[in-house]
Amino acid sequence: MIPQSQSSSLQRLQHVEKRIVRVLELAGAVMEELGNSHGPRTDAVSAHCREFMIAMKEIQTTLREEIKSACEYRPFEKCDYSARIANEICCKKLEYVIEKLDTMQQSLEHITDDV
Amino acid sequence: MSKAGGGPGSAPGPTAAAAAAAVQKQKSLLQKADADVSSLVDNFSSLINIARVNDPPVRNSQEAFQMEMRAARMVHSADSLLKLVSELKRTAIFSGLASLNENVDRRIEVLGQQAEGTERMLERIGQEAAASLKELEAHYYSSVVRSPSYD
Repeated sequence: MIPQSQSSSLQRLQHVEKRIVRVLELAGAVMEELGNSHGPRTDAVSAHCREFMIAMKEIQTTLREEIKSACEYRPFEKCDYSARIANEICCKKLEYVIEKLDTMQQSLEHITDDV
Repeated sequence: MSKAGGGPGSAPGPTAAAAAAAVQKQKSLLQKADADVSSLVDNFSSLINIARVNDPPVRNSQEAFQMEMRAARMVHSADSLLKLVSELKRTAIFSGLASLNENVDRRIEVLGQQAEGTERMLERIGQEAAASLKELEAHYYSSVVRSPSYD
């Protein structure tokens, strides 16, 4: 399963691809309308041009956002440094406790030998 | 960490170089995207202007050629944008931070569990040691080898 943020980014880019194809289709539709033998329909041409400009604005906005997020340099948003250091501290604690227990063991053995 | 090269001046670190490269890449990609979008809009506007019916004398061949040229430029700009989108999709798939963050979260969870288990173990050891010490003290003070009391 694709992570949510990655899927969202891919979906936005997929949508941009479709919009790019759509703007070319709109341009073709406008030219076909202008070449109509009965004369171009003003409302149709206006609607296509408006949709074209809206699509271009959407394409530019989305691409700029995606480019910024893709090229933004950061090592990691999240870091496991604290967890690793805590784990290392636990290891040090264990080593210390093991050392003390070994000392106690030696003392007990020494006392047993004396008795 | 060994330092490469000598002398008073030191080279910038890999992090700074990578950050500068990322900024430069972002700038170039933004410029490319803006240029392609501007080209599409400008060529579309020019195409509509050229398609306008003019009063005689007309220049049908010249205008037809210009229209074809503008259309070709629009297609070229759209193709360039599509390639840019493909590059961004590739970046999103292979360099996305979401999966990396998930991996980091998983690692943090594992480390946390280990640390918690260690703390519980140490706590149990401490409790057992305390109980054993109390028992030892009881045995010692009830034994004949106890230190004599000072009256």
